[in-house]
Amino acid sequence: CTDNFEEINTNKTKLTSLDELGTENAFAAAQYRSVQASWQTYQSLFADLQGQYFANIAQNFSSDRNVMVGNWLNGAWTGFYGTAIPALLGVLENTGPGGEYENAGKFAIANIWKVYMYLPRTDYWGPIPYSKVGSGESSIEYDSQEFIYKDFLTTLKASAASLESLKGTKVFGTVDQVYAGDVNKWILFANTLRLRIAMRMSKVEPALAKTEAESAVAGGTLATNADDAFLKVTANSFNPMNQATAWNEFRMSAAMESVLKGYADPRISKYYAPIAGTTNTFKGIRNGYTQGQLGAPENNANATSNVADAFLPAVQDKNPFAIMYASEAYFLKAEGVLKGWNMGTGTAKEFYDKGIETAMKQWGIVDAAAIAAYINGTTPPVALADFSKTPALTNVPVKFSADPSKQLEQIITQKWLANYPNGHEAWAEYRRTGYPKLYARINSDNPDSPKEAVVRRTPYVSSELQTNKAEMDKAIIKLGGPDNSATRLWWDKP
Amino acid sequence: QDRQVTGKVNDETGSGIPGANILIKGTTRGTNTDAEGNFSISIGGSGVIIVSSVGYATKEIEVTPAVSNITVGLEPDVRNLGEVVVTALGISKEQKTLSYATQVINTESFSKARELNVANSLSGRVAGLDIVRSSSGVGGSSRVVLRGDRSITGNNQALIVVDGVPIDNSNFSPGNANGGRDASDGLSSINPDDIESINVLRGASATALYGSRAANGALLITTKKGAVRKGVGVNINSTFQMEQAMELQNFQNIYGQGVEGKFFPNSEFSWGPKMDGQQVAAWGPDPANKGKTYAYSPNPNSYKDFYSTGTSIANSVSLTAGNEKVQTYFSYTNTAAKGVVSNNKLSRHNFNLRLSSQITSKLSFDGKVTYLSEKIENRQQTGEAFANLQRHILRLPRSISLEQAQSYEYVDPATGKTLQNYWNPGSNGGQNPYWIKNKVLALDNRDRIYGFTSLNYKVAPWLTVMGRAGYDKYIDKFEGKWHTNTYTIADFGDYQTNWRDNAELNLDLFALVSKQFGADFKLDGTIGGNILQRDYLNHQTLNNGLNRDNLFVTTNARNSVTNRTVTQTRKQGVFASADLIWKDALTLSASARNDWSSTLPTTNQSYFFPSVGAAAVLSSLFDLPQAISFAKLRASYALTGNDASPYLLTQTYSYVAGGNTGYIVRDAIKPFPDLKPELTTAKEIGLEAKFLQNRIGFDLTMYISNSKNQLFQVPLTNASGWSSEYINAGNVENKGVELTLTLVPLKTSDFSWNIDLNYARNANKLIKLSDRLSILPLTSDFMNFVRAEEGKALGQIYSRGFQRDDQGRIKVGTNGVPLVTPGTTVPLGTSRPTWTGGISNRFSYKGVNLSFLISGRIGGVVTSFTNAVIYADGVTEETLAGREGMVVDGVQADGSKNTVSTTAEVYWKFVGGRNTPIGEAFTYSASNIRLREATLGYSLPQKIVGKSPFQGASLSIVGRNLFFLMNKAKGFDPELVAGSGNTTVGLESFSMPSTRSLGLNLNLTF
Repeated sequence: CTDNFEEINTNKTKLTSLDELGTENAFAAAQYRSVQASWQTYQSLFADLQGQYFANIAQNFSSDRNVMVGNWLNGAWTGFYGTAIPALLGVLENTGPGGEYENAGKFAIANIWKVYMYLPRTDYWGPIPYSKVGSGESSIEYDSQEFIYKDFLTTLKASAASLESLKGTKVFGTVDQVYAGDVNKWILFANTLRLRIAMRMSKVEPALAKTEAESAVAGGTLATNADDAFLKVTANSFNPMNQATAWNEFRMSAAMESVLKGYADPRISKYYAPIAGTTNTFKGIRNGYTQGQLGAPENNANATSNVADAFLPAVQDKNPFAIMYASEAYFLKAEGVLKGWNMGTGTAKEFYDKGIETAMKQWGIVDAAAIAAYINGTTPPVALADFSKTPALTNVPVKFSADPSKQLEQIITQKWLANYPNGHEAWAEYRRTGYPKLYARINSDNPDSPKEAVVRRTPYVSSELQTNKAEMDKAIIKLGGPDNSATRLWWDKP
Repeated sequence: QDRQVTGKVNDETGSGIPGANILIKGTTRGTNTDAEGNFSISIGGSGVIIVSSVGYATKEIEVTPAVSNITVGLEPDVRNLGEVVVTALGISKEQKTLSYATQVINTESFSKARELNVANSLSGRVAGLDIVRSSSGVGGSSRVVLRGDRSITGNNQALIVVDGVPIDNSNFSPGNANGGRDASDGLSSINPDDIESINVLRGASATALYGSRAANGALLITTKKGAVRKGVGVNINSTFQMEQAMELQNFQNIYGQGVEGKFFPNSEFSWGPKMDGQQVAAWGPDPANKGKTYAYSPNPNSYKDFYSTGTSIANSVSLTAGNEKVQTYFSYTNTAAKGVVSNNKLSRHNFNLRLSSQITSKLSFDGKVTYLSEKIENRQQTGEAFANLQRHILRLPRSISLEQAQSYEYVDPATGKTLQNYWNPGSNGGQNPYWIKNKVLALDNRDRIYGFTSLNYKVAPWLTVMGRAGYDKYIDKFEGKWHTNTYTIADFGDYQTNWRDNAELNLDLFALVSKQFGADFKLDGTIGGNILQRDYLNHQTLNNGLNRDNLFVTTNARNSVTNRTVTQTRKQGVFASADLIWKDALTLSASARNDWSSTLPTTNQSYFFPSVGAAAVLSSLFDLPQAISFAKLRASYALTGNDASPYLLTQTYSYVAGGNTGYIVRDAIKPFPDLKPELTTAKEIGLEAKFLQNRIGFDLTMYISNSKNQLFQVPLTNASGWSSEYINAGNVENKGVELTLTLVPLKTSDFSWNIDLNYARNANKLIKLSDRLSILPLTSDFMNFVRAEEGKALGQIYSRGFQRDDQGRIKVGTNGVPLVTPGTTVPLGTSRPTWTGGISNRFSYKGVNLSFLISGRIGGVVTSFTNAVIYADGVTEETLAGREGMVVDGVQADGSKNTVSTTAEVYWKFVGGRNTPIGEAFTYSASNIRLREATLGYSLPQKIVGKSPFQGASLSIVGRNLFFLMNKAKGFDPELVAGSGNTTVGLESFSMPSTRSLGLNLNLTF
């Protein structure tokens, strides 16, 4: 008698389909997992160190000496494609045209999020699987970065346009952990993301970048801190950064110390903690020390600044994860003005100052006089009394220079300060602009990227070598250089 | 009309043989003799009684209706020619009619030189049996594989059958090189005191009747039962054993804590200056030590002294009683053991009750219930787990004494919290070993009940019908308590619980036919059916941090997560078998079984597998020279099928807590609606022969098996939307030879010397993986990458290696350090042995017995992640050379000899270390030969015992794992590996020390 075999062979602890409510929960999963998936081995150990928000003091961790640790990168890749993407695929399939629960608003927001998810990944590797993802085939083509970037722009534009008719309504409701379904904010987010992407490709496709940036700005971008995009965290979905700081290996970078101290920046205590036994002494550490050098007393865990309390595990269920700040929109516009783009009403200086003001307010620094004093500050970054007798990072002050040759450095340096702890943007913009003038590493254990060099990308990963080698080989041709950390991405032109 | 026949079984000296098997031919009805050799059994009118006992030639006695009392004298026989052996489904057959290889194991020493897991007692005794054990302290699991690995990713372990009913031998958490917690196995639940005999069925031919479960061979364990006797027979068996850690590593005692030749009190390395007793700053955050100094001196015994002497005490009492109607056997065994880590303890109670009853002349009953209650404290974590104590004691800087390290906690004056005192506070990977020992606690409990009831009805003299229900259920409970400030893995402490409930119900109904046709032909047959239902539940809670320090309750959770898994499978089968025997000399056998499994899709749910075989007793068929006492040739062929894991056919989605209303994620394994059962074909031929009145005997088997259509998971590029999918493919071939040899070099009335030798060689090859891929990654860790590769044996280990030029010389970079291959692509070899063997010698002189077992496991490789890490830590002698500077023997890019100098520290940190070690440098031959067991016993002579209340008394000195005669691995025991799964066989990773044990055994019968 085998009549009940089908019943026996049904898993009682699982769902068997993705219904309408389930589709919403799947979008929530896509949102969270896209930032949480392998956060440590992805963002923390690469972008955050290459963008020099932090130095890593774990003695056996070599990525701060430019080693492209394969296991970590593999985890970063599989975490994204293996856990975040399948959740998103179900949402797109169910809510898209012809889907079982077709819904233009949900489809548009899921698409905007899709671009947000993919952007840092293509900025790590270059060509990646994108348009063919989710087909179930055993080999999946990698799209060129040019294709992906242009599709990003199209997708964002179409999605924002499709949300226009839903303005003032809520989509997804409370399951949306970023904007609680607020369509108006999603439009601003889409436009700001489009502006960010247009700026990134401005060297390689200047005309298209200009058109897209101007169109995005015309549609409205994030304007106040009320528009800031944060991902809500809960007791069951922690802030992955707060979770990772339990390992006690993050320290303020020397670059941050030089700049924050030189500018007497009040955000120093918002970002980092005073060293052990003090209330107001902050110490950074250079990136790329050897194990032996890390053993020196000056470089000790207790002699250097950890992250501020807001980023510690104690509040991992409370500190929301930063997605995108309104201040970034102003710095992008300031740079756009330098390029001669129509960024709406305002000069480069006005956007720059507004960006700083917005960033300060975001951290609770609201005193107008203090902000004004900072904006008009003329002191440059300082030299450090550290193990390596580090000189000052650069000589530009906060006060916006009349000298056009200094302005870009100022804008990007302030954007770098403001975007903390978003290491992806820090590293990508450093590659694009060379700013801020980050320190060379003390040592590199990676011959492809010596200590003075900028790591320009991360190499492809072992799981793809095993499962998708033919397509990976074609991707290396699309990449246009060897599969190592020295090859520049499509948008990354000298 | 049934009646009782009583009798006595004597040996050649006329004294009774206790525990001899009495069986009515053609039935499953049987009994055992009591301590004096007496028995009583019911028989229907006339019949043939088969009397057998290990070490004696089996006799068949014709019992006519007139006979009610018989005396049977057995002749010693090394090979037990006419021996009756237990075969599949618990059916007894004469050994000479079997068309496949079996080996009856001498289990006499199992209850004397004891192992906490009886699997380990089999090591070296069975031809073709490979055993490795997980390194988790007392009560850990072992991996028991016969005739090589068949399945690429599935189960390869032999089926365990107790009294005809399979029991579950799963290990749900076998551990891996990255670390884990071993969760024991089914074999460890068996009490050696209750074992009557073990018969090993090595190949699929022997086990085809069990269906798909037994494709990997089976261990048939027969337990003791009651016998008809006067009064109550009592046996008391006591063993006391002591266990000691062997130090196999060579630790260095010259350089202490620090790096680059400099002392740092927070260093986790031993690359500091020479230890000359100079005063250096005290380590650790404990304010009591602030500003203090201590003498920087070597601690040569720190590893050895960390471990204490383990003890194991087992006390067993058994009672047998019986009259003609009812026979009873009862036993209780109490085992209390303490491992070499002093808070790693095991306490075990085994209760066993067997009742056999002749209800009417035609109806008999047999039933057994066995209950086990086991508690294991602080089972050791394995591998790279940060909570693996071994990891931290091995890494201890050489200048830090155990005495210092013992102050592992302090009270923080600022917060009043009890925190860890460690040289590198907050380390990501380092911990004070004593903190781990005392503050990361685990408790495992197992309650297991298994047994069967059976009814036997004799429909006609030639036909018996049997119904049997077997049940095996166990509940494993785990509790883990992690104290606050266990760096990085439990900074806020943790509390974990796990509840595992596994049940297996076997229902058998079958008919046994035994009919004589004329004078020459006889038919023995079986026809029947089986239903197997398995239910599994796993419930886990994780606190993920504690709100209040060190309060270990589920409600004190920072982020409570609960996981519950439930699986259910059912399999139904019908089977039939027949042996046609001609003149007791020629046997033709055939069997067939059809199974239906719930895990397969409707279209493929049913699968059929047959077997055929033949056995010819040449010595009966032909006139052979006098010197040949016996010769038999046999051949068999079998096909077996295997079903799949449940729930693979359709897409599922998981709901997990998170966000505002939860997350739903599609499960990452692509559904496989068309899956098919796996198929194994097995062929074997064998020759058995005896010479010179059985003084010499051998059994030689050659076999080949192919396992096709295997179900395994292949990784998909994650970009496909799934991370893996199942496919049906593959062809794994196992070809091999097995030889057992028995010799009686000397035999007088007072003295005997017996030698048992076994040898097996197995060649394993993955002939075909699939059209889609020729390499299947199985597992990877920081150092090893294990994969199945077409054309090679299973168990291939890969890692990083040195870059070499075309002459094989190591290429060295401009910094004087070797260049490493990109990726883990260098083949290191297979972890499976080329051959295994054992030789056992037993000497007996009057009441004195001496036996020793030497076993070897030759061939295969083992990699040591331990060495990779601790060489980079600078704690071993291997790291002494080149501390002041060294030139690596290799060539520069232009082919010239390398002259660039480096240091041992730079070299070993590059070659070894945790994250990217070069496995090639830490790979060793796994070949080893050891003195596995030795016992020296004395039995009091009858004339002394006769005056005492006892009927028998013996005292033995026993030893296990005494020493290596050869060990090619450097610093560890190659059979103590990271876990008992398929892919961890050759991966050593922070194992416990190998231990030797010595003890005393006292056995009293009265």
